[in-house]
Amino acid sequence: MALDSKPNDVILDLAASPGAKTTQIASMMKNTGVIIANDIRHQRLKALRGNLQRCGVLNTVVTKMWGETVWKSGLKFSKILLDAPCTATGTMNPRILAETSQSSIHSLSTLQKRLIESASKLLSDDGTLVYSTCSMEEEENEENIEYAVSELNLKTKSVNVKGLEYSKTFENCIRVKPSEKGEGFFVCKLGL
Amino acid sequence: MQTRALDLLEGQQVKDIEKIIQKNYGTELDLQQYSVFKTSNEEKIWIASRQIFQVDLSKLVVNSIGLYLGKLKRNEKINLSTEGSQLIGKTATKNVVYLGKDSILKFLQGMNVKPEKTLNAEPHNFVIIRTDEEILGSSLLAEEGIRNLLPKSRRISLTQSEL
Repeated sequence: MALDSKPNDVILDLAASPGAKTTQIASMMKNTGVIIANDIRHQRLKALRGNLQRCGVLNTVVTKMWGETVWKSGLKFSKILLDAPCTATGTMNPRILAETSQSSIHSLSTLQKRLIESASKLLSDDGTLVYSTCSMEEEENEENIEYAVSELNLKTKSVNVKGLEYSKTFENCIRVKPSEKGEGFFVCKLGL
Repeated sequence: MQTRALDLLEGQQVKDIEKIIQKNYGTELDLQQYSVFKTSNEEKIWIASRQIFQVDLSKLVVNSIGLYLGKLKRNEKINLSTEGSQLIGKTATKNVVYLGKDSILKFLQGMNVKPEKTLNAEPHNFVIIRTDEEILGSSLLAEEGIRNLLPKSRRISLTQSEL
């Protein structure tokens, strides 16, 4: 919704597996245009390909690249989704909550910053980068947006998510708390 | 699918696949609206939105493109993927097999089953498996019944209590 996918768009989904958002984007694009759906791990790519096939997606190229290096392709996109690898603490899964440590948060936050940097280099001048996680940790969310604004000169854009209760935190960032309605997540729209 | 071994099909090659579909399933699938390609070491056919090749893919490490339609077999036959069956099955008038209620779950679990009724189905050919409402996939029609070719990844497993 935040990405505002439309038919005939050319979209990069930088960390696409397992593909729930990719298939939704393809549906919003009515199977036209192009989605470059990237991931790196073999098992995750297998899940991504399986879900794209099951949903009858015709407009997607699956690529196997480290997200941090995709910018080297020299391509530019007007719409990029970075649903970043994260601790997933917004899922409220007891196993995940138990396994999440300060060290894992920090490690993922570092990776997320590198992915944002790669995405920023792939973004066209008038383009939109949607950064999202299903983490509730500030270090994976607002702090990364702060980094994008201060270090990468990106600007935040306002996001309107209808039908959801959310709180605005750092400049146009929104976070939805986990509830009986669904998992918690964080989203922010960025541009140059 | 490894795209290093990708052959983009053109003109007559695409028409030849349309003819195979027409011959086997009695229906037309307009493949000209898609980019059609196959892996050169196998006879697997893939289709994708035509716009895909407007993007310069040369600097990307491409893992797969588009939708797997099916695999060409000897004697101008084609083993359709589940999604290929669903694309073609809506209007197919040949090589279609209907399952009865008792067979649906067994088929989805990967078992060989007997058809309830058939529509111009030829033994020893690949047939579209369906119910009155849904298209379930493709399998081989043998003398003894349907030889299940549903991929393992698409089979369902049920506990005894769910059966």
